[in-house]
Amino acid sequence: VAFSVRQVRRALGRKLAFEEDTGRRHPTFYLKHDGKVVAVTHISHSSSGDEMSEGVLSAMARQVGVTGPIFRRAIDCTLSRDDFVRQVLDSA
Amino acid sequence: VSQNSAVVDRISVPKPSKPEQRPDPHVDLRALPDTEIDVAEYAQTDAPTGILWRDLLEALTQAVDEAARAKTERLARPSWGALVYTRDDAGCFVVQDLTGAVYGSGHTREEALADFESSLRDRFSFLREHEASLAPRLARELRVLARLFPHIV
Repeated sequence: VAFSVRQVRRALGRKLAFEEDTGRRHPTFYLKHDGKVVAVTHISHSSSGDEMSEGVLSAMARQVGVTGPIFRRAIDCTLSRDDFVRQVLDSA
Repeated sequence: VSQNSAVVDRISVPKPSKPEQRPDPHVDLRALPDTEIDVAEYAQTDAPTGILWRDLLEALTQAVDEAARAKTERLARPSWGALVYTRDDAGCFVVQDLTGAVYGSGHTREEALADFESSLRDRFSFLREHEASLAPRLARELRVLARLFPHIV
């Protein structure tokens, strides 16, 4: 399943509660847990089209510290936020 | 038994009477005296073949200077170290560092590398600003990236 850039941005910001740092050249999203920054990722400039590249999605998953399938499930809402955060904390 | 002896005789290799001479690796060549050459004498002498020694010396000097300049330029150029390039089914190039902390993407390798550089700068500045509140993995990532890309720090 291909995701749109908008869909990824919305899932990161709304569902997964990443905060957006707009002061960078790339839109940067970070996740805080108990006052600690546990994950950071950004959306590449080349992802300005409708569809998010599979390669970019995999790279974002690595940045966050989860596997590609887990990241995809978190984006398409088949994985709960709590389960996603648990996966992130395991690698953090 | 006699047949075996004959075979052994034929394949046996006699040891050399003198051990093979090899350069002694422990000799410090820098300690040897320099040989003095009168360059001026060479420069004034034309070889019988028509080659001017001074031209040869000039060419050699120029070659050495160029090699030194090329080496200096090469060292001054930032090195990105080992990067991993991939290309997905849609033809998008993605370049990542070995740890997967930073990525850049683009329609060409050059575009992806340029995006990688600006992503790396973003990542550094973000991690630095939040250094006090980074989870252990991200704190470690900051240290590793600083070692991998010292010219960006």
